[in-house]
Amino acid sequence: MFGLALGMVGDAALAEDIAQEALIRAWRHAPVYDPRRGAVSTWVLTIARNLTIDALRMRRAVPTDPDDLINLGLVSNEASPEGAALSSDVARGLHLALSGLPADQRRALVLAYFYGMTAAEISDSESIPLGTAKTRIRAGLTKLREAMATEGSRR
Amino acid sequence: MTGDEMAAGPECSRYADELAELALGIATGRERAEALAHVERCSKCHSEMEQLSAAADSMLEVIPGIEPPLGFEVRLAERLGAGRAGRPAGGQRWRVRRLSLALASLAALIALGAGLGAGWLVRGSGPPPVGRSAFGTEQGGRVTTRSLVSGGRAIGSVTVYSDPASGGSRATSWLYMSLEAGSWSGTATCEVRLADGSHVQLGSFWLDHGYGAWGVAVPSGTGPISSAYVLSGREVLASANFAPATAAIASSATEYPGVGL
Repeated sequence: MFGLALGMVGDAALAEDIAQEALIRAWRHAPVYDPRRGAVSTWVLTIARNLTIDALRMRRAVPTDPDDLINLGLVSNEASPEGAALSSDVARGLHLALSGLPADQRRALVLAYFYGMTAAEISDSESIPLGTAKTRIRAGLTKLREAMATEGSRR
Repeated sequence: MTGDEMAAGPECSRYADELAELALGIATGRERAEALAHVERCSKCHSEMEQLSAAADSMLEVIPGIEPPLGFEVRLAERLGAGRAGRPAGGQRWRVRRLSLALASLAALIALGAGLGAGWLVRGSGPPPVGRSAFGTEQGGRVTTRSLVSGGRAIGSVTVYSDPASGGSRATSWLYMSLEAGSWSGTATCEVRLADGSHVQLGSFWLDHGYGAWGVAVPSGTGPISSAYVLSGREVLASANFAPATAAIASSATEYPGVGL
């Protein structure tokens, strides 16, 4: 969670603030956690992600480069034996799926999901037509889902 | 024509982009409202959006975990109200250690979520009081805390959550206990006596020199608890009394911040 926030904002103090707030909210909102919607860890990470997006918007903070965020995961998980072990299953499949996407689609997905940017905002920031931004988002997410389904059927 | 039959037509393709944007949480305005209305009545698109949402959330797993800076837990404790000003140096260690235990239990506690009806508790600073607290929650459930007593001394606390049940009675849905005094190490068993006099073993946990924290989802249909015991074999290490006569008295000596939605 701290790693997620740090990767998104690139500021350790702000990342700690976000991670703590996410834990407190998870603590207080345990009654609304729905186990059918995924693992606890994913739920808490989702809280942290939403808080980070809010913080970035409020502070107009400059986010880290979206490419760096993805590279962070790819590099860090292969840099240590522990990371390599972790990346051997689920995480590795995800890395493969993400790294297998065309770069422009991967970037659109990261801007949308981690930075909360709308299709119109992505269109502006990437200097592409709105229709192209929408197509990249949809195509990227659809391919990611298919890659995950393929990965899941292999296990 | 049913909603699903309608959805099988061209209407679904109209919302293809919006489904992805809904899944990523970036859909806005009228497009979002219209897409949500469509998803409500179209099971095919509803299922599609759930799959896309799972794919989107999977990206969270890509970012590697990083240990937070030193002192993270202490600062979190302060935000939760557990680390107030003026704490004596000697008292800090057990509080931090206890908080660590509580944090370590957080994921497990939330994992009990199907049965949870209230937030979690972190008690205020100071030695464990011989106190009790009971309060309602927004869902009508009740959280009740009692001290775990050993030889006339409070060495921890036990908290139970009970739901309203039929006939005006209550059903216990989860229990959490923490111990922070004493010296015993080893496996401890939690056993409760119910209002009807029967005993139920809820499980075991590890005590390390008197420290331990543990939570469990109580099997459904379990009635009100009248006493809780921490056992080593058949020896009672500590007990807490939940007798109905004292069940609704809130203690002014204990603080329970951070509860509720």
